[in-house]
Amino acid sequence: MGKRAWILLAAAAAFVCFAAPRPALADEPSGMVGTQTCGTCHEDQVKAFAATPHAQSALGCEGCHGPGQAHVDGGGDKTKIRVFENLTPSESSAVCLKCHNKGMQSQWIGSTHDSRKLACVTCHDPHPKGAVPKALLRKPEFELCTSCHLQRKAQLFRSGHMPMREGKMNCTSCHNPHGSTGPAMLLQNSVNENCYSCHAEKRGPFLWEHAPVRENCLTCHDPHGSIQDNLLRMRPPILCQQCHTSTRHPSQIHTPADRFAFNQGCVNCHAMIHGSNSPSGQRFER
Amino acid sequence: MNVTRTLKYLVLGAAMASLASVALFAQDSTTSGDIQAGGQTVTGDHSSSKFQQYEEIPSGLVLFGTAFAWDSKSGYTVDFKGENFGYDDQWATLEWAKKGQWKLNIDFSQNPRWFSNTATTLYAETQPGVFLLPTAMSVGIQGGADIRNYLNGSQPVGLKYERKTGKIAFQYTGIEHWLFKASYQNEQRSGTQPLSLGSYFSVGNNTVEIASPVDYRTNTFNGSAEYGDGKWFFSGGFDYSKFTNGLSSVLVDNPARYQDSTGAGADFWRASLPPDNKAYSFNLAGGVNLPYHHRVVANISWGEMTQDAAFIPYTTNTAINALATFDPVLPVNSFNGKIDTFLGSVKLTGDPIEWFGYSVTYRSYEMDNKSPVIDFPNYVAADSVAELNGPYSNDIIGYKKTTWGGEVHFDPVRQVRVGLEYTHDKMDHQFREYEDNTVKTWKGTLDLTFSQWVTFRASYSDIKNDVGAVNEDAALNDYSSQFDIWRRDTTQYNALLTLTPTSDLAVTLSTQYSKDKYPDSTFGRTGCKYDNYGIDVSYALGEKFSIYGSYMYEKYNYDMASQYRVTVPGNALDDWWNSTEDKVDTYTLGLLFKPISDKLEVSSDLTYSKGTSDSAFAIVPGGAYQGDGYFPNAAGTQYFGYPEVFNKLTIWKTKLQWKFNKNLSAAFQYWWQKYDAANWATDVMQPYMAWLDPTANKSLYLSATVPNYNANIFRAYVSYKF
Repeated sequence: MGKRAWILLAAAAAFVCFAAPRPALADEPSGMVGTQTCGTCHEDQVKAFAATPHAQSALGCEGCHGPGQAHVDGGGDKTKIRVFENLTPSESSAVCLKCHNKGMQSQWIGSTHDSRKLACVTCHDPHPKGAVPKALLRKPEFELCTSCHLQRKAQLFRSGHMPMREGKMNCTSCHNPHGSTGPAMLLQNSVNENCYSCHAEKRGPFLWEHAPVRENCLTCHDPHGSIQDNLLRMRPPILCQQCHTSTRHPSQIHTPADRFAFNQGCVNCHAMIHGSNSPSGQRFER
Repeated sequence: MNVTRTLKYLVLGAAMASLASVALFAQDSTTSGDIQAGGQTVTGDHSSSKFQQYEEIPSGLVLFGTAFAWDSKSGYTVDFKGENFGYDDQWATLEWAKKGQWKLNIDFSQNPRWFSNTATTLYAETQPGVFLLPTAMSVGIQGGADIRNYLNGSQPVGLKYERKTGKIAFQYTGIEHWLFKASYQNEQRSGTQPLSLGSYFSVGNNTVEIASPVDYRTNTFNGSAEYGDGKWFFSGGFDYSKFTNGLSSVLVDNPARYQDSTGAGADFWRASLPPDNKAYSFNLAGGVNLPYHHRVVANISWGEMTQDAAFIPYTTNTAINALATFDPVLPVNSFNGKIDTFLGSVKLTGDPIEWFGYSVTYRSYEMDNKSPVIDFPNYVAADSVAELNGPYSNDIIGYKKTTWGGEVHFDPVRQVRVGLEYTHDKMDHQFREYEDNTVKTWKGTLDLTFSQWVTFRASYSDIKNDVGAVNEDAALNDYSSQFDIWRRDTTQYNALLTLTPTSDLAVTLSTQYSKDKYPDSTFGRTGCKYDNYGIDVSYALGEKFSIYGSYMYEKYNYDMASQYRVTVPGNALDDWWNSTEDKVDTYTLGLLFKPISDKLEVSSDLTYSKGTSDSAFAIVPGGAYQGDGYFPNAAGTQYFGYPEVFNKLTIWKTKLQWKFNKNLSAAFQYWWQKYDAANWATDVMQPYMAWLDPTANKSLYLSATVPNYNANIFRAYVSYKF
C-alpha cells in the first residue's frame, strides 16, 4: 500500500468516524454527593485518595465510582454504585480511559494486555496504602512486570545485563505496557529504532551494511540479559558461523587456542560488524 | 572527593537552598523531604571492573540520597530527588508544576560502563585517535625481533566510558482535553572502549587492540500535541535526533611494520568510526470510539535517517596508493546515505457483546534504504592488499514489513476467555538471500480467573516462516544459511498459574517452550529449542513477617552444521556439527521482619544466577574437517568441544533499620556480592597471545579480562525526614 493510499485511507476513516454516534459509555448522570459524604463511611480510602493525583479531580470519588446518592440512600447498597471488583476488566478500564485516553494510554484498547483480560487496576492502585507510589503502581515497576514475566526477572539477574538492577533503566525505558504501534509493545516503531534511541552510533546508514544487523538487532543480541558477553545470544565464533557456513575460515572449526575464537572471536578482525563507513570496509574490518 | 565533586555538591546545595527559600517564604504551603547520609566501606576482593560495571560503590562518607517536596495550596509544587551525588552513577530530578496546568522536569543522570580494568597497552595516543608505538619497536619487529622484547613498556589503560544525560521536558495540560509536550535531551558519552584492527592473512596476519576513544554526543528533541475527549483521540508529534562523533577515525601503528609495502603491509592502519548521523520523524495518530463498544485507531509516521560524513581514504598504505594499477581517488567524498522510515497502521477493536470481542489490524512498516550505490574501482583489504577487480559496490539493505491479522475472543462465562489470533507478516527485503519471507502465526490463548484467587493464562503458537524467490545476487552459494529469514517451523507454548488462596499467600508457576525447526537447512542453524520452568512464592505471617522466593530453570539448545569447502559441492566427509547447550538457574529469596512495630525492621534479599554453556562438535569419523589446529582427542573420537563456560552471580543484601521517631531513623546494611566465572575466550587474554596461538606472534592485545570478585559492603546511614 503506497503512502498516498494511506493518506486517503486515513481521510476516509476520519469521515466514517465523524459520522458515527457517540460511544456507549455515557456521561455520568446526576446524583453526586461529594467526597466529604463518602468519607463518613470510607474514611481510610478517602484519606488515601486525598494524597493521590486523582484528588485534583473535581468529581472526587464519584469521578470513578459514579454518583453516590443512590448508594447513600440505600444505606450503603453496593449494587447502587460502581464497585470495580464487580466489573469485567474492559468495563473497569473504560472508566479510567474516560480521562486517560491520551499519551501512553492512547493505544490501550486492543493491546496485548487488554486482550488478555488485564485491567488498569491490575497494575495500578487508585488509593494506595501508605506513601503514594509513582504512577500509583501496586509494586515497584520491575517487581510488578516480572510478577508475570518470570523469565525476564531471571534474565535480568544474570551477570550480563543492562543497568536495570542499578536503577538506570526500567521496563518502560523500552516498552509501553499500555500498548504501542511497535512490536512487543516497544516505544518505537521497530526493534532497531528502539535500540537506536540509546545507541545512536549504530543508526547509520552505513556505506557497508550487515543485513541481519540492519533488519533486527535481536538476531544476535538479547537485551533482557545473557550469560554471554555483550548480551549476545550465543558466543562467537559459533554465533557467526550459524550463518557464515560457506567458504574459507568462517566454515572451519576453530579451537579455543586460536585467534579466531579467543577474545572477541570473529570481531577481533571484523570489528565494524554493525556497519562500516570506510571505503575499504566491506568486510567490516575498517 | 575531588574538585569536580565538591563543585557538584556546591551546586546541589545552592539548588536545595533556593528551593528551601521558596518554601519558607511561600504562604499556605507544606514542605517535606528526606536526606540519607552515612558511611560505607568495601572489603574483600573488589578490584574487578565487573563489580562496578554500571555503578560506583565508594568507600567513605556518602550522601546517598535526598528528596525535597513543596506543595502550595495555590497548586504549585516542587519535587526534587537525587542519589549518589558526586559519583559516577549520580542522578537528580527536579519537577516544578502547577497541578492540572503544567509541569517542568529537569533531569540529570550519569552512569559508567566498564569493559575492563586489567588492560595494558604499548600505544601512546599522541593526538586524539592517533595511536603510536615506539619507533624502535616497529623497526625491530620488522627486522625479525620478538614482540615480547618490547612488552615491558606497557601501561595500564582503563576501558570505560561514562554516559551523562541531561533532559528538560515541559508538559502543558491547561486546556481541557489537550496535552502538549516538548523535551530536549543532551547525552554525552566519553571514555574508551576496546577496538581491534588486523592485517590480511597473507600480509603479517596480525591483530592489535586499542583503547579506542569514545566521544559521542546525541541531541534529541521531541514535541507533540494530543487531544482526547473520551471519544476522539488525535495526536501529532515530531522527533529529532542528531548524533555527533568527536572522532571520525583512528590511526593505529602496525607493530610489525615501520615502512609501507605492497606485499608486507602498512606502517599504519586506519579505521572509520561511527559517522555523524541525524534522524527525524513526524507522527500522526487518531482514534475514535464507535457504537457497540468499537474503536478504531490509526497511526502514520514517516521519517528519515541520514548521514553524509566524509570518507577516509582507501588506505594509509602509501605503497599501495602509488601502484599504477590502483586508483586512490574515491568516486565520491562522502556517502550521502539516507533511509526513509514509514509506519502506517489501522486497528479496529470491538467488544459488541458481553461474551465476544475481536480486533483486526493492518500495519505496514518500511525501512526504505535510499542510499546511493557507489562503485568503487578498487579497495584495500585491511590496509594490506589491493583488490583491483572492481567495481566493488555497496549493498542497499532495507525492508518493508506488512502485517495483517485478527483476533477473536470468547468469554463463555465471566471467568474464562478463549482467544484465537492469526497474524500474517510479509517482509520484503531490499537485498537479502531471499526476496521476501512470510511468517504465518496461529495463536490460541486461554485466560481463566476464578474467585479472585486463581488466575491461569496459557497460549499456544504455531509459526511458519516461508521464503520467497531466491535473490541470486545476494545468495552466497547453495550452502549458505541465514537463520533469521530461512524457512522455519516454530512451536511455542507458555503457561502461567497464579494462586492467591489467602491475602497472605501467593504462588506463581510458569513454563515456556519454544522449538524452531529449519527443514531446508542442511548447513547453518538446523534447530533451536528453549524451555523454562519457574516458581515464585510469597507468604506473609501477619504484618510482622513476610518471606518470598523464586526459582527458574532455563535451557537453550542450538544445533548447526557446516563444512569447509574448497570446491562446490564439497566433500561430505568434511562435514561438522555443533551443538550448544546453555542452562541457567536463577534463585531469589527474601524476607521482611518487623519485630517491633514502627521501630525495628529487618529485610534481606538474595539473588543467585548460575549460567553454563557447553558447546560440542561432531565430525565424520575418518573425515577431513578443516580447522585451525585440532582439538585435543579430536583425531580419535567423534565428539569434542569447547571448555564449559560458566558465570555465577550472587547478591545478598541485608538491612537492619531502627526508627528513633517519625523523623529520624538509622540503618545498617550488609551487602555481599560475588562473581565467579570461567570463560575460555577471555580469561586467557594477555598482550602477547602467541603462547596460545603461534600465528599471533606479531599481535598486540589489551589483555582485557573481567576477573572474579568477592566483595563485602558495609553501609551505615541515618535518614532524616522533614
